[in-house]
Amino acid sequence: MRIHIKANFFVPGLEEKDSVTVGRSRMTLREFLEELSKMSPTPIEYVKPGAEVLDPDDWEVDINGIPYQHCSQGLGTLLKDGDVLTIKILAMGGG
Amino acid sequence: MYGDGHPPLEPEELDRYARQMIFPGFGRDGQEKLKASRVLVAGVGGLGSLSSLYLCAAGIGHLTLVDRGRVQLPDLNRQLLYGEKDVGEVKVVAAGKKLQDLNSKIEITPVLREITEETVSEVVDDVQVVVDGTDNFKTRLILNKVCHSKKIPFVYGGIFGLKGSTATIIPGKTPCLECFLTKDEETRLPIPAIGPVVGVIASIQAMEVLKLILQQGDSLAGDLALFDGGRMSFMKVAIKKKEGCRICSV
Repeated sequence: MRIHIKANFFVPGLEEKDSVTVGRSRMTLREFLEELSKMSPTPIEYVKPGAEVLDPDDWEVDINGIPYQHCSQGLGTLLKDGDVLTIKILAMGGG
Repeated sequence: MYGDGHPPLEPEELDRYARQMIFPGFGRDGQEKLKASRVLVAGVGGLGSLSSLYLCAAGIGHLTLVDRGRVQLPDLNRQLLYGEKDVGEVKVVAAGKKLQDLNSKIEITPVLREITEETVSEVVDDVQVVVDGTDNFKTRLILNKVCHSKKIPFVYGGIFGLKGSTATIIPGKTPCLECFLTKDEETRLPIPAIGPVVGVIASIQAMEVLKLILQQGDSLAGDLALFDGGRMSFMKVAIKKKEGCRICSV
């Protein structure tokens, strides 16, 4: 299964690549993000252990242009071959 | 003036900065560079008051402080330049006095002004680095734009509760602030602010300024660093240039 990735940062572990091929035909968003964390040579945590949602202060994630929270299963949404995942890291606004 | 044209250090300054001058990356030459440098701190609230303290103490020769506000009681949990007696006082005036007390050998220019599209070009002038001490993205984007057009490095910082983020933007070399902000990053008011988190981010910003001036070590140029005080974790990612960015792609 191949997932295309768009991000506002260079996803650690992917270097210049814009897609990831995983050796499974079915994978939830949570599992995929955990895989991305494992690929990274430096610590990067998309999903906090035990969390039901991504931290909205840290990440914005869309599946094929739809915010993952609006997908029926949230982090449990099944990804399919060719899906486009948009991952944006958020900057803090206070001072 | 001597050497590289930097102002010489007085005997008192040699003593005052002795502990940082013995660090190989600084030295006497580095201290003279700091003395010759001009830095603008945009906003002297949480981040700006703390970064300016370190920059003042380190011997930055000229600090410009820009803010339009007055000190309020809820500022005092994190804006350590101010005390109870300063409540109601114009921030840049109170900050200037406190910083001049800390270091009478540097020049401080307080500017009581709001940073807007109309004022920013006049405010950001003749400085080597701009430090982000603002508390909203609208002003940051105005600063980002003018820093890009004037080719001045901009050290972004932001906080929210136990979290903070910082990045160093170097025009012509790194993506700009607008490249990595998302459309939904609007400032939610009131912003929760924890003093030590503000301190962590402001300290990194001050460190970045010193390294930029001294050209020492790796900086956060092109990176976004995120600190999570709740989990005591740091994370750093390289930011991407936004295709067709209206600021840095032209």
